[in-house]
Formats: sequence, C-alpha cells, structure tokens
Amino acid sequence: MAEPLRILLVDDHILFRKGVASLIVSHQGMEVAGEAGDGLEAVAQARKVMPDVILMDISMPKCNGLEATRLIKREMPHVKIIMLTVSDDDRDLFAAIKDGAEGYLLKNLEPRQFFDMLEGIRQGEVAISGVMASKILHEFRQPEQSLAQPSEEGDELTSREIEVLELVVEGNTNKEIAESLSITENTVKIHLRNILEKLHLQNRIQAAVYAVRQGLVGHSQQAQ
Amino acid sequence: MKRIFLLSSHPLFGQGVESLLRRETELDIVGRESDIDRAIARIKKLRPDAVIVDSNDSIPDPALVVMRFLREGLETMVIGVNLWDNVVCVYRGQQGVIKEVRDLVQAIHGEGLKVPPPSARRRGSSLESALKLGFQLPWNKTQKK
Repeated sequence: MAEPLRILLVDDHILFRKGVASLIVSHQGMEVAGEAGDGLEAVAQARKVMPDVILMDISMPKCNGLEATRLIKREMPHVKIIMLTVSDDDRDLFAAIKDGAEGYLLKNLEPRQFFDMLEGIRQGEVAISGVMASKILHEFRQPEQSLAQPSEEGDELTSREIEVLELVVEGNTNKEIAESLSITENTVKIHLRNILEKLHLQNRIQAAVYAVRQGLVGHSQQAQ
Repeated sequence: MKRIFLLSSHPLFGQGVESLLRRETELDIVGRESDIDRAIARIKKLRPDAVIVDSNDSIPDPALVVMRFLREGLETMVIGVNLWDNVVCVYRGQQGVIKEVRDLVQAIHGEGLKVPPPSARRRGSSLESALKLGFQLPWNKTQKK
C-alpha cells in the first residue's frame, strides 16, 4: 500500500482549516501532517514536518501565501504547494505559478473534486480549478511575454520532448501521455524533468505557458 | 441535544463544518442545503434549533436570511459564518406585535414577544380584503393606464 500523502494545511480561517483537516483525516491514504495560521508559521511548520503537499491560502496575516510559497520553494523545492483560496484574481494565479505552485484551487470546489485533485498531485499532475484553467488558456492567447529566461544554446528540446510538451499543453496526465506515446510513465517523468531543466522552469504549468507563448508546440493546442 | 441545520453553497466548507460538528456529542446535524428555498422547505419540516448560514453570492447575508425566515414563520436562531474571516454572528430571530411600550422593553430584556405576528397567509388575506374594499395598489394603477 502506498505511503499516505502528508499534507500541511495553511489557512488563517479556523473553521475552513479545521473542517478540511477533518475531511482529510477521514479520507484513506491521506493525513494531516500539520497546520499553520499564517505564512511565517507555514515556513516553520514545513521545516518541521516536511510534508509532501502544502495547501496554502493566499490572504493571511503576517506573511501571505505567495510570499510563503516563495520562501518554502527556495528552501524545499520538492514540496508541492497547492494554493487553496477564494481569490480568482488573475494576478494571484500567475504570481502563484511564477512562485512555483503546482496547483491553484478555489475554495468553492466539491470535496470529491478536491480529493481527486490531491490524488492527481500524488501522480505528479497539477491541480487547477476549471475557471482558473480557463484563465491560463486565455493568457496563452495574449501577446508573447516570456515567463522564463530564454533557453541557452544546447538546451533545445528533442522532438520527443516537444511531443510530451504538446500533450502537457492539452492537459493530459502523465498516464495519458505514456499511453499516447506508448512509453512508460517513468519515461514521461524523465522527459518532463529534462524539459523543465532545459527551460529553467519549475513545473508543468509554467512549461505549458512557456511552450505556447514561444510557439514550441503546434497551433492546434492553442485553439482548444 | 441541539439540532443544527447547515446552509452553505461552498461544498468543501459546508461539509468540513458538518464533519467538525458531527464530533460534538451534544449536537445533532439534521440537514445541509446549498439553496435557500430548498433549505426553508426542509427547515419548516425539521424545525432545527439553529441554522448555520454561510453567506456568499447565492445565499444572502444572515440578517436578510433571518428576515426571510420570519416572513415564513420560522423563529430559528441563525448563526452567520463566511469564508472571508473568522467572524461569527448570532441572530436570535423573533417577531411580534407591540401593543404597548412595555412589550418593547420586555423584548429588550429578552423576555420574548407575547403577541405573535400575523402569519404570512393572514397578511395575504388582509391584502385581498383591502383590494375587495376598493383600495388600489400603485402597480395596479399603472397597469390600468
């Protein structure tokens, strides 16, 4: 049986945080590794409990969730951070992605969707609420404005990596990409790691945005 | 045992609060709804001691929910919560008719209102009677023009 997914909950809203903790506790395969009520406490708790995933609110006293995400990612890049917020503001969404968040969920989601997203995170997928995914797609269509530094010479993607990137842009999971290309999920993960390294990016959302803006993938994906 | 009903259209928040309150042995969660009209229909049947209201785009402010409950003849306590902050507001909704100043003073002392309000149906009847007696309502006048 797989190790339980250890989650650190960061939110200054007591009823919401305790309520979500109560739901997680009764969900198989997941456990609450810790709780924090502001960004600074989140950094301290992350160091202490070393969670697999952090569910991070944005608007909090002392240190907000975006700042806390930056601090934690700098120190513990392997920890996956998912924003869980009431803010559907584009600026918060793109700031969170830029700061390295692996997901952006709105608090109005159904518990079933919430747990599906967390299961996906365990599989290396991103977690994005539908309306926020639309905002990312909309951003794709904006005039080119690089999220990342231009890649250096020798960092060109291979044709296979571009194929993987195209499937990422379409919103496919690692499993689906593996099936489409008749390769294993592990190989997909290796391709993704290489893509991120070459493009100096932190996660697949950044890679997808970068790919479309730089025209690295076909135009058919942009129209979808 | 206090009987509680939840009104929230944020499923994760609503189910989270329900999950927390279910741990409390002195509380009985009798229902949860995301729509105020469906909630009122169920509250009329279930008669809970308190309704926890999570106000948002689709559910009005708890003070307005209290007004709506009173119009429906429900004097249930309303506890307002929201997703924005940790503030909880408690409204002990009660409605009555004042016949003398003493009634107001008693209400201030929390002694309750002795004269019950006319029910919504009776108010409707009064309106029908007024129309029969020839009183014209502003919108009726406009329609005739």
